[in-house]
Amino acid sequence: MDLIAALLRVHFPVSFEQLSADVPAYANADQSPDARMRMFERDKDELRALGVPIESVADEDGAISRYRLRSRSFYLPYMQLTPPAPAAAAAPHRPRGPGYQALPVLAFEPDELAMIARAANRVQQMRHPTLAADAATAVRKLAFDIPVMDGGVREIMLSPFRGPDPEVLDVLDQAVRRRKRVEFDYRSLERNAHAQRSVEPYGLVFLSSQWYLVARDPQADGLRHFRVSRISSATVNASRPQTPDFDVPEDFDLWSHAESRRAWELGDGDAISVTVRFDSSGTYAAGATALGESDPDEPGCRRFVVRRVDAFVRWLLSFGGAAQPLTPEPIVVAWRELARRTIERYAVAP
Amino acid sequence: MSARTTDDAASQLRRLLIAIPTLADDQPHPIADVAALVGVDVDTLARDLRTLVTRFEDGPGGFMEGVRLAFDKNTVQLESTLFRRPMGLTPSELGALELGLAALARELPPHEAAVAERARGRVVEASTGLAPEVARVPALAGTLVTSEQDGLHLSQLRTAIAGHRKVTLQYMSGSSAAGADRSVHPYGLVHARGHWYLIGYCDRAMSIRIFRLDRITDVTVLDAEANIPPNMDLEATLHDGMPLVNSAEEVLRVQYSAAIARWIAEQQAVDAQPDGSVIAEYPLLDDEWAVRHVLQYGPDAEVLEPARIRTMVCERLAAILASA
Repeated sequence: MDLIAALLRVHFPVSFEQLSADVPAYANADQSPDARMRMFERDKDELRALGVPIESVADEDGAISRYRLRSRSFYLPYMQLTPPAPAAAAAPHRPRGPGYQALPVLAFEPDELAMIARAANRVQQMRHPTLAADAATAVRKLAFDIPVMDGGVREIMLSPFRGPDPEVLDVLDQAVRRRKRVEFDYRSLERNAHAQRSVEPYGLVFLSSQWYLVARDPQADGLRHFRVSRISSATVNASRPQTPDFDVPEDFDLWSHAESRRAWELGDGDAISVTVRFDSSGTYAAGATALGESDPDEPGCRRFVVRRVDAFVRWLLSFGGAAQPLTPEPIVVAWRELARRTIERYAVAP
Repeated sequence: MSARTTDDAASQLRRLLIAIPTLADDQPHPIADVAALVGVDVDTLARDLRTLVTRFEDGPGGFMEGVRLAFDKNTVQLESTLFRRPMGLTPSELGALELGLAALARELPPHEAAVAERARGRVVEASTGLAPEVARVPALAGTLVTSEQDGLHLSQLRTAIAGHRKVTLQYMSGSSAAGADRSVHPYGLVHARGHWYLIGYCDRAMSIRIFRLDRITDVTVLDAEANIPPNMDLEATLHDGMPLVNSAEEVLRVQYSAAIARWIAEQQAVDAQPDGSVIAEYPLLDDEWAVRHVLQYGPDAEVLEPARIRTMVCERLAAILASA
């Protein structure tokens, strides 16, 4: 706080020696000059990590010798609604003191503020403590001059799954940001076993009420999704903490991993094109007819690209006959075989 | 300095950068109000503020030249020439809002997605000038709607809720093949288990009802004002992670095989069986939902009761096997 205050008081770059006059900790005679300089460097780095835009200014020789914190970069602009209603509201109240007169005015449309409030509410519901806190603080700041409200839309998101461990999320956040390898224990439900994994984390996606880590698995030489709630004992590679362990490929697109995908679209199997006829008079088939692609040759039918036949025929079965596969023949056979095996379970009364 | 201490000092700095602009208008403020605004208890706020004017031998305290602080029993007053505006949005705060805005933009109809994009531009302008990659977590959120039609209906319903307007829904209930008009006073929206639900008072049923978004085929926002009880509590309409306001007397009991028991147990309370299978119970609100829910698991799920649903499942399966 002292360092920020010392930098904000002046409008020009200042040296460490000048700062020492205003920051008592840097003038402590009990410490060596090197120790005081290290303290300043550490404070400066931590403040930058918090988002305080401290600039390093080079002298004529190109060496960094002075530092600056521009009020215009540090303080929030004055917020105003567009159009400002009464004339008196057009000019923001500018307090007396260094830097306040030069701050710009940022005009918001009312629908933009409502959208920001709704976005913050959406983030609150994702059960990521750091992101939730950041969204809440952001709204508190924006609401300093003007109300940021969602217009009274009541909205709740529920998840049947337990939330992720905040400490695990924190470790993954750090690893993703710093591009450091991360090790963790992963509970695989498929094999009902725990396994130690060491991966290169590319990003986090929130999908279907769950957080997933998208990471490259060097052993498998491929990208994998890890459900964060199944991760425990996560640690960031501690060696060379300031040096990234890996590069994220330029063509990597995190958005493509945030697309909601059906189980039958995943996997390494060959892609099969399947034609399905939906009985549109039924209630439950109505939503499904928005999936897949229309089939120009078969009105009333949809075409799906399927990589996992077992997952697809189970989904079809859930329509109880209102979704009938037409081609190819192996899918039709698999669907009917699944129905036969299922009805066998009901041969004996419970 | 330990990581913990650093984190505490950082948190304290964040809190002070919100508290000081609120307080520094030379007026006394109820300390409880400021603490609530900052999001901490009164003791924490008081401790934070004291560090501004108190010199400690060790620890995160400091001494701010020109800051004057006065407490009495319930109020606090602060004078300062610095920090009289909040700090701009930090990269991590900006990233959090962008995450929410991007998720909304992908599920909203185009005219509202444009608002989300404009709002994103504004919050970027409200951020500090620091390179955003410094502190932003690369995180994205997928959309919560599966079709453009659902996105449009969701938008219309939000408009109606915000404006306290009644709506007419064309709604396909579980048992009716054709949609029917429902006149509804919309209370709020709930997203659960992959679906959006509208909670509202249905004039036809003369009680609170839930409407699943993907069964709504048309929404008309009416000019008529919705009648919303002043003490309406959306949370009270939820039960065990699901919106359940329709009366449910029956219970659906399903046994899941050992092969999928772990996945079921991850989502809900189950009764584990000696053979590794599990039994779960659900309030039975809708027979069609029950049939569909069980069939998605094929031979790995069996309805135990009620017998009526067992019969429905068997009839559907028999019809599939009888089809050409």
